[in-house]
Amino acid sequence: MVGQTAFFMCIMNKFSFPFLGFGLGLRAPHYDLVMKTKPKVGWFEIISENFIDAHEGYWEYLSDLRPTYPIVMHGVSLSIGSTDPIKKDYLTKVKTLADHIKSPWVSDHLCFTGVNGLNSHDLLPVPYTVESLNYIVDRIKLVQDFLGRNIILENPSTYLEFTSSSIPEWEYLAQLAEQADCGLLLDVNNVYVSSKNHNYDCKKYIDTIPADRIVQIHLAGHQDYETHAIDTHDQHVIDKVWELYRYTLTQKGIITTMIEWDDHIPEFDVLQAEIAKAEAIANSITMRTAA
Amino acid sequence: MKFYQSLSALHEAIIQGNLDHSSGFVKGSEFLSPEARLQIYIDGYRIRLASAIEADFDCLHHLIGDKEFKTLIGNYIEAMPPNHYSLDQYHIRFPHYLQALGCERYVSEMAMLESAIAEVFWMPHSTAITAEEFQKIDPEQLGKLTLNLRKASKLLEFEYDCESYLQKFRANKRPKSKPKKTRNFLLVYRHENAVKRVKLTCPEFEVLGFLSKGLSVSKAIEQVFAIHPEYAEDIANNIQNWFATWVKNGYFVPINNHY
Repeated sequence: MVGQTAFFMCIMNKFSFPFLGFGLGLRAPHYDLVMKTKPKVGWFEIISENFIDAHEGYWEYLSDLRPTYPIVMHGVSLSIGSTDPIKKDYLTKVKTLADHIKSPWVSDHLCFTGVNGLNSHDLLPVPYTVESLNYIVDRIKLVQDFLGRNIILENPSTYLEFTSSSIPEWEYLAQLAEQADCGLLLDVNNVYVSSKNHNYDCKKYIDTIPADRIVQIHLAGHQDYETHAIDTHDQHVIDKVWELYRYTLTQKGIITTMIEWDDHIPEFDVLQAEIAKAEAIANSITMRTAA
Repeated sequence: MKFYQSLSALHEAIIQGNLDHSSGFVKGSEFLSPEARLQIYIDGYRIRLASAIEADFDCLHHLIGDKEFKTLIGNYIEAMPPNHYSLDQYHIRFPHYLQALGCERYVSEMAMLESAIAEVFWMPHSTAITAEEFQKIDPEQLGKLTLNLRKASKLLEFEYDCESYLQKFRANKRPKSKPKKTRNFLLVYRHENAVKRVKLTCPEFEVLGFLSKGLSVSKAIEQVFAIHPEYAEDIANNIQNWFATWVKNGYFVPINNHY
């Protein structure tokens, strides 16, 4: 249930994408339960690739769910940073499904997944340079023209930095969004994970991202190996990430939020408890602001 | 290093599992060397692909045992990096790879069967001609028609009875002996949002095979007569029943929906 206070205190992104409240990633183990019980969840995010090529039964499933929940498409194969040609067949499928389910927006990642005709099926970092910035800005514009909508890009979790990088990630993202006129999906857990791996200040990162570009927030669990952290989406959001989430909302306003849990997926009520936690934080901030 | 060179260097290093040039383009961190940081991606790539293959070939896994299965997967990943945006397509070259490697025939055939099931699941949708629509066709015109199989379908020929083995495996019977050597035929297709497998006789397989190549009904039957005169009587006696069953089971697309 979207808290009334949070709803009225939400910020408006510059694209006028709606505030959807607090949602979950819709994953296969819960497909039946969600359809049968229609649990109280503000909205669902789907992985685009799980559906764009799937048979009509899956499309019917989404059609049946759509009157109850907004369904947002989140992709992992756009490969916006690649130097390979843009995959028009892939984009056509994304556009078709987005129109079919009336996806409020379509998101993917600031990354590349492959090059030279091969695919790593990973969200690989790009070097943060002026050259790559100009190149990716042009690619985003091409994709937006093709899809006929502004896209939303997520900051990735990264485990290495290029020697050639010359721009901090947070500045790169802010410039990218402004120059390409795209939205941002701020993954607060990714900010935290990458800060552990690259030793930067999370708050400085958050402060630099323009509030009106942030359309959505991701929260997830990760594994901490002391020497580095890996974004695993297989456990609860840790307290430090919740603190960073609170800081983000305090600085930027209330933003559409969802919980990602993709491995060792627990019972649905565990996920609902995570959403409730996010919503409680949002409500506490709006109460304080109102007071 | 230019942008394209940086992407290529990282991607090649991951796919080849090669750390040799990592310090040329990867920064070290406070705790990890450039090599250790790159190794995170190298390991993640292999774990991800192995998981995808394992998910699609659980019966093959049982058939050849964990050690051999994991060795074959590991070799496949090194030899055949993915080239499609969807990880769900990565299994498609695995049976051909096993065949080229010279694996036992029943091994590559089991891979072919499980791969076909996964492939048909993701193949494009097409509607089926209904029995009512089929009955409206003038019987005198039927011979001249071409009847296309559903887009999501594959005709398969085996030297070993992998289908029976798979049925036992999926019924949790965990067969201990390898599939029996006996020539057999199968149609794997998707109908009413489910992947189905149907055993075919040799003449059924041949007729459907020629139909799938675009021959008209009469030409397809003529071809089978010419190649297999021993099936002439069988075909003559059963062809009407076959078509009735094939249409009822949803093998074909409507006449006006040919692709």
